[in-house]
Amino acid sequence: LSNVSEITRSKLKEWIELEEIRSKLIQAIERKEVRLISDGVLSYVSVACNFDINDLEELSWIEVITLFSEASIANHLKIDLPFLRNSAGDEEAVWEYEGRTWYLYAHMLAKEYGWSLNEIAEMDVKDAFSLVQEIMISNQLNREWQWALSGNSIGYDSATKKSKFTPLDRPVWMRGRALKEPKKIKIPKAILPVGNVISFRDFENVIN
Amino acid sequence: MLSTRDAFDFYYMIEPYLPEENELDLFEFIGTIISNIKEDDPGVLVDILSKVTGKTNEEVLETIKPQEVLVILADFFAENKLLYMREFLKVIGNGRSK
Repeated sequence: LSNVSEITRSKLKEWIELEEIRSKLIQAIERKEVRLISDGVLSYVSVACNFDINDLEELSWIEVITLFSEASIANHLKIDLPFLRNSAGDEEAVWEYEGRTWYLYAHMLAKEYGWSLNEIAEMDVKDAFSLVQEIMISNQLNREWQWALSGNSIGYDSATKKSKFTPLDRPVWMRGRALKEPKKIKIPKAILPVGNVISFRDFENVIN
Repeated sequence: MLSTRDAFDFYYMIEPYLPEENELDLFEFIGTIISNIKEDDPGVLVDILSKVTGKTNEEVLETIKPQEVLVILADFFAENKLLYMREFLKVIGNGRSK
């Protein structure tokens, strides 16, 4: 333990690996798979603190979970990016494989900025994810522009007998919260006030 | 103190018998575990004592008196700080990533 200096947040590639280990650990806890729980805790600490797993097995469990907790706190991401917030419910694609998350982000960053895999691996997590979101926004806006220019975006509305523009769907995280129209309630005439109705604004004018 | 693998193995061995209440003191906590095991399968208690003391099941039956069981388990829990395990698993299990 004396070899452990202050635990700092891991860089992008290592951070993604830690998140994948944590995901598996949570699943193992839910399923009570004891061997996988021990493996998950030891792997997380090993990656986050650069410890050999065999050395960790020599430590007491309290020392290991203390390191685990410190590493978890150091790697807790305190940014609220919409694309991360809304990606959890996505269905798994058929081309998904273990460890793909790193390659997905590395591909996007390398393609956009021309950085090498080593440079991307060493990026700060906040910077990387913020840039990934910008790439996704930029790609979506480009697609929307191309869609708007194509004939497919214009349909014919038989009710109004006019052409109608259909915008390209946006991913959930890019949609604003739709404002609901206030519900109209019919009030029976019998309970409406009789005579001149003075609103609050009129009342203020009278006072002044 | 127990290593990580041994601690998790032991915890999940007794996990079905843990009391639901968190506010019990150590002896009440262990007492409830022992009662729960006795109700379900007394043989498990011998397995647990074997793990705790490093003795074989036969040695446990021959050398450990029933009145010693509570103290042996309480000492083992206290020494290995096993009451923290439930809290640790709850905190991690409640976390959701991805």
